[in-house]
Amino acid sequence: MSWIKLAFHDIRAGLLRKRYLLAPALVVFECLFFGECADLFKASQTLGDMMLFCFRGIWPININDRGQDTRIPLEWLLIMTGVLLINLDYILFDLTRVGQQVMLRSRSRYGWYFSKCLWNICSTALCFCAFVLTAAIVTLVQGGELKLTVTPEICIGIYSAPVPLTVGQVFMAGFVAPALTLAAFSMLQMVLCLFMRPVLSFLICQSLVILSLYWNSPFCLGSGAMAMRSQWLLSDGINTGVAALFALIVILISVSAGAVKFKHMDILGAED
Amino acid sequence: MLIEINDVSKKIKGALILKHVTLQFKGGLVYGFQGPNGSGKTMLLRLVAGLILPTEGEVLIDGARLGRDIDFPPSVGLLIENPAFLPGYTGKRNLELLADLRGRVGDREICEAICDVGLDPEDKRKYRKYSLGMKQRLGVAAAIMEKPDLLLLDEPTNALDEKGVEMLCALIRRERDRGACVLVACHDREILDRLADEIYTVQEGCVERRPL
Ligand SMILES: Nc1ncnc2c1ncn2[C@@H]1O[C@H](COP(=O)(O)OP(=O)(O)OP(=O)(O)O)[C@@H](O)[C@H]1O
Ligand SMILES: [Mg+2]
Repeated sequence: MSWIKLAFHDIRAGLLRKRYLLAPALVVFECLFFGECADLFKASQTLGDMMLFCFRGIWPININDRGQDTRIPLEWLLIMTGVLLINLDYILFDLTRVGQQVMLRSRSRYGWYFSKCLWNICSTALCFCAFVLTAAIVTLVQGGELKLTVTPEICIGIYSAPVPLTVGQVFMAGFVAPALTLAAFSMLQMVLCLFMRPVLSFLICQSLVILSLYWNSPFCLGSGAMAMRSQWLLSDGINTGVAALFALIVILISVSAGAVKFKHMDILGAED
Repeated sequence: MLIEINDVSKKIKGALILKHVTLQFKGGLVYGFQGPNGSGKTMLLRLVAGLILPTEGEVLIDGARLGRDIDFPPSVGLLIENPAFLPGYTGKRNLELLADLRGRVGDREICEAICDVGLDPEDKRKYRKYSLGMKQRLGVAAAIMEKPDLLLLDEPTNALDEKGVEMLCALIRRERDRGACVLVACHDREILDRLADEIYTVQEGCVERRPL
């Protein structure tokens, strides 16, 4: 069961770090903003409202429409960037340090690499759980309920539409699709780190995040983490299920491409 | 244990770092490498460890080709450049975590290795509080604790005091007598003269045997 031991190494070296405290902070920031909005509507909110709000993104931006509100959703960008930054450096950090000793003892490049992929998923999951937990706490503190329904008044206030979302749709647009999208970005970023400097890899992923503000398609990775792009909130919106599936495919392709690269990669010392 | 390096060249980012190197190493002998900074000693050790793969040629460990048949030598202890451990754990805990990956040695061997390098297994200080020499000693302990067939030591005397160097020499001899194949890259010629059964000079990626 050597992979379990490898996974434990990654939990110790990669997951027990202070930087994960950044995750709840990101959502507190967002939720406070929501608190202001919710006050306006005087409606009691739910966890579903809160998560949809955190991952609402923006309506598709139409370059030709001059009158449109194209305010960049800063809070949304902060969450996406925060997760990318939290996950950025661990693989190369470990690879140039104690990870070499670990890899030699595991005697398998694939084993070590897949353990890092597992770590990456766990790391994003940890961030996301921190998001949900924080959102749940804020909801309770503000007198809301831990339900996965949406409050019609709040829908009108924020999305200008009293859309009756089902619990399944809220779960998909507020939890599954954003989580998978974040996981796909993180995995892509980690694998790109094997091909180029981490800074470049981060910049590429960050560019994709920004691109998704301007390009509304399920095949543009960031759209999946924006509830306001979903067909459930927008008549010509994207299929959130397809976006989630696409994120899953990006994860699989990234993992495979990384495995091929890592099998023959040179493992050198730390570059200062 | 037989290690064969057959006509290996290695290019990294366009620079030729090892040039047509052909060498053989056997168990029970100490091989010393010396040469100027940047000549390729560390790269040679990385090559034997399987951390870098040849651009041309092949490295065989008991007939198995690195990078094709096996990823890494089956039993290897490695100390390259600066040792690295988890900073938030004690020295002993760090060794336990590493040893646990193979599960071949237990508490007794780990404590022995720590004592061998002159550290205290009961020391409760975290690795991040270790001095430079203590870190180096722990690195040596990690390399020898599992009694590997192949021992790769890059500048093992770094940061060691006089007593530390004596201890290291004794350990290397002990490992050799146990049957391990030991490769040592070291700038100190005197130490290599005392220790090594064969000495090689590395110069701009070329490796040549130096008459003793
Ligand atoms: N990470 C790296 N990327 C690219 N080239 C490298 C890297 N590390 C080392 N090199 C190059 O490889 C060559 C050999 O380096 P190596 O570290 O093997 O030298 P060395 O003989 O161990 O030197 P020293 O005595 O300083 O330890 C050098 O020319 C160096 O520039
Ligand atoms: Mg060196």
